[in-house]
Amino acid sequence: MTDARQIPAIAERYDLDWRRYPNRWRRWRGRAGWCAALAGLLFVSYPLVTGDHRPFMARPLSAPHRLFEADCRRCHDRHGQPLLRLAGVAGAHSVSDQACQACHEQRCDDHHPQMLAHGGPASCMECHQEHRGRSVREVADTACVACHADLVLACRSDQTPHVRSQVVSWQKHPEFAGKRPKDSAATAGLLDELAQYDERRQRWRDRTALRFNHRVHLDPDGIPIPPDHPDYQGNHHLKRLECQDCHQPMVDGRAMQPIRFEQHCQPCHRLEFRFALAEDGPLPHGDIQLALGVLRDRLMRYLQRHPQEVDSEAVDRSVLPGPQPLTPTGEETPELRQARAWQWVERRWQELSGAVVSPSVLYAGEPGAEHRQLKTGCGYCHEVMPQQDRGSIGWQVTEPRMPARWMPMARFSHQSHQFVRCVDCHYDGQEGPGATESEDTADLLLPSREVCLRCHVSSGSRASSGSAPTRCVDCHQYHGRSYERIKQLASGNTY
Amino acid sequence: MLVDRSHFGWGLATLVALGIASVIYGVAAYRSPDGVLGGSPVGLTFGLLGSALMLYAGAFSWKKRLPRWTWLGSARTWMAGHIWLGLLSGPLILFHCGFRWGGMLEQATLAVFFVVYISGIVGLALQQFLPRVLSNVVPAQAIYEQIPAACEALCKKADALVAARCGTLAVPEWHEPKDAASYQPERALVEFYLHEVRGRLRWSDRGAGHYGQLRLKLLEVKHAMPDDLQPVVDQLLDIVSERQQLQWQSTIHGWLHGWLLLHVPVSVLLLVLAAAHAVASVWY
Repeated sequence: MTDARQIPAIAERYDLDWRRYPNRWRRWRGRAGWCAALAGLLFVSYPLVTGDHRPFMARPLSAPHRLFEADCRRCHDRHGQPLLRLAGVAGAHSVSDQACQACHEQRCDDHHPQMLAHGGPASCMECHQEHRGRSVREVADTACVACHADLVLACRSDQTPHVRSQVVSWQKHPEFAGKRPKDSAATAGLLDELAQYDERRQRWRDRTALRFNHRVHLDPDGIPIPPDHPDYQGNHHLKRLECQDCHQPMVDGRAMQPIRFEQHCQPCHRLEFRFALAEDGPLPHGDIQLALGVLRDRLMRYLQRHPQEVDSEAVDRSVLPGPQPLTPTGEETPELRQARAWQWVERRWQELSGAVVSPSVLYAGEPGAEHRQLKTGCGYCHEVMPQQDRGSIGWQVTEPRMPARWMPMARFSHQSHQFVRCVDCHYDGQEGPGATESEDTADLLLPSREVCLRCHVSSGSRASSGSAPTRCVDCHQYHGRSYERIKQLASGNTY
Repeated sequence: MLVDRSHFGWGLATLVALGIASVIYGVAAYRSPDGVLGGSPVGLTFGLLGSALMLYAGAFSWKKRLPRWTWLGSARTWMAGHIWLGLLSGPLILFHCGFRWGGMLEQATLAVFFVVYISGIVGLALQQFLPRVLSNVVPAQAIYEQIPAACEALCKKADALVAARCGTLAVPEWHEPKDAASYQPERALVEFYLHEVRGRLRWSDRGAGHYGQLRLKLLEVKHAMPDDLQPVVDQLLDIVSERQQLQWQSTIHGWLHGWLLLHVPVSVLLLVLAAAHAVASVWY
């Protein structure tokens, strides 16, 4: 379109007093700009006035710390740290260790303190990241790998690592110690105390001095139980046991409670005598000296109820204190009768105490019943060793020393894994028997790393969809860990 | 046209800077288990750079108010920087926050930033293409602020044109002509001009569409006028046409600058929120 202006002359076309014609767009822009600035200042100053600083929080706090999320100063006691970080100052964190330790007792250097060359991380914030919307316990693998990538460098020169070095991720994690061949004395140090290595089979074996047959107890057809068992139902005297009948997790759902004779074994394997000695109930379990003392006491009480038993007893006069065994009327003196009774008790006690280890003497149930198959007696389960220097008994029960935790360096929640069957994870070796087929106590029915890898697939916190977590801290704990502490965990002295 | 071949260097530099920033971000995100965090050295660097570019973009409006400060660079250079560095600030801010929304203040800041960013892109598109449309549709452009004065001048010219030919511009009383002999075309033209044309020549915010109808009416009037009056009607047609162009110019100018009513105030709000975010981040 051509320009055909009707008023070409500028002087006629425009008003030279341009101030009369302000730009209304610019004017409204200015007003709106001032309003926006005012709105922004109001938005920013409102939290400052009210003291609720949550709007300034970049990302949500972890659940426990939300108690004081309105007061940033509760934790953030150092200011200007981001500028120092930008300048390359290492360890510039806005929260000091003192702020953390106002509530928490853990310290940076309580992880194998005698071993680390540099004493561990510089501050709590090196590992624990807050404002991530997740628990501060979920430490990134990089924090662990900083040392565990090369423990030889991280450890002091006079210390030897107890675990494999150069672990940088779950994918590079070595096979669990109990499932891999014995490699070195250093890394097998703790396991040597719990198990013994079978060089021929290239496999660790449980050295617990106890006999237990998983296959018999987990027979799918059931095992016989005595009539006074809580689960006995008339003629139906077979009970099918499940793993969790004996292996029950702790209250926190993590490790398993220790197996206790009174709770798990005694309902079937009672330490009872047959015949009349069974009247006073089973013998106590756990202390052989106590059990034998109780046995002597029962023999004496039995004799009080059945004095005629003494009449058939031949008297060894050499042990009698007095010279006259008979009264002038030809009757036994009280001393003689007491000595005869004492000798009867001692003789029976000698017989029984030597036979306590035998399944034929102690058993549960009545003769003739099918549940007579239930054997008992110390030697049926325990390792009984002859020991001549222990007075008149002549034998000793080896302490079982059943480890409370086989993998004390790891944290594992049985509760979180309750959707899988026990036998899916617990078996001996790669091709060894599973928990239900194991007949030998020495079978180490521990899961291997391959079992974990079925679900815990990828590495790092950014697990691919469908994979269970695979961070170091999902299985391992940093604080309060020393070799002595781990040994305590394994022995069950602490939890 | 804002972006032309002279911007090739700016565009290339922006793409190179974006590529370098992307590589740095990718490496940092790969190395960090939680990705790049705003408080990490890399995240802080991105935040500082993004904020600097935002400040530079905001300083453009202040530079326009200081035309004599030529040592700061030409307005054209500043406009190019405003466009390209403003565009670059978006990815840098996203790298700073690690593509996360953050807390309430950060969410508000990011939301405002995106409003500024998108309104800027829309404004750039409008400024890129609408001036060409304007020059095609409105060859008789006027200084925008002086459009009312130009309209007034057109009105005065039309008044003079009609008065010169018809003798007076006094508003006559309307009488239906009784016969053809009593019909006075000058009187009819004055009456039509005063009732239909003159009011529309003056400045108002009405739309430009009804000027087309007015021109059709003027054509009808022209055919009803004797030959000696038809040139007057033709000139009136030209004046109405120019008035219509001025109306188009006003409308297109509204499109060209209306987006700034959103872009500028929200930019101010962004600077306030970003400053608050920076202070809170450094303090805590």
